[in-house]
Amino acid sequence: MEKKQDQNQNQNQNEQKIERAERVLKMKVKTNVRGGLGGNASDKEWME
Amino acid sequence: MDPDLQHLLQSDAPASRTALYLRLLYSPSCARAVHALLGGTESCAPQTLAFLKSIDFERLGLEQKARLRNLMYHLGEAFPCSWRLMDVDLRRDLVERFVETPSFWRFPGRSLPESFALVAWQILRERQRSFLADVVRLEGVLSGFATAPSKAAPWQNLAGADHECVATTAGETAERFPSQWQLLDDDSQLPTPSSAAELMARAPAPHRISLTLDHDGDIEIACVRLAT
Repeated sequence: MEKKQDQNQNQNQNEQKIERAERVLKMKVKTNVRGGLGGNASDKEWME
Repeated sequence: MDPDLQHLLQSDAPASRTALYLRLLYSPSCARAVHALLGGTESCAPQTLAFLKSIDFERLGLEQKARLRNLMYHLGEAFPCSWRLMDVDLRRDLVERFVETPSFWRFPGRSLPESFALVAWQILRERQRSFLADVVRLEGVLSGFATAPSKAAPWQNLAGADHECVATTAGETAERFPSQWQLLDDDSQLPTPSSAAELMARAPAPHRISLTLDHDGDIEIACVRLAT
């Protein structure tokens, strides 16, 4: 039982290790600037 | 012949003729198939056949070129970073291949740019241009996510894409995907041609790219280098 708990703990530590961030870069995008094509027209309307 | 095209030719419904006409306006391969049909024995609905016989295929070719230029211009608005990292021949090649795929007609993406990105990502990966492929993907996901954040991300159905849609602890909507590349430069901006060259010269390393829609309706892109 104890061995199994140790294994789980090791696995959790490994997972945390894999997911640990070494460096984080962030950028903000205003969504009213980007997005679908052709203003408010749907893509299909734009194509036609 | 493409079964979809065959169906459009054989159907006598006005909606099918409209769909066929729209395809002819963009797709050279569709125009070639239809042109060949006019001199052959392939079956076609009578009214559709009459309509096709009225087409001037030489002028149609010019129209297709104009529409392709227009499409490239509009996609360029959604892919400002990717477009700067490609030469014009590569852009044209990707857009030409896009209009010939079912993705152009079936809208698998949440926006037209995202549908384009789904196609371009796979082509660029096949050509071993994974940095550019992932930049195209980032801008495509950004477009799709900004257009319809509540819709399912089409990347989730794509083999090898490993795309996740998650809810953050703050109740925000987020999407993330892995990349072997740092897709934001050291100034936290999308790469320019010079910073892209620098980033590609670094050894590939696991990164997680996430896009989070905040409560103000803005999207935050995060590029996280993971410790291994």
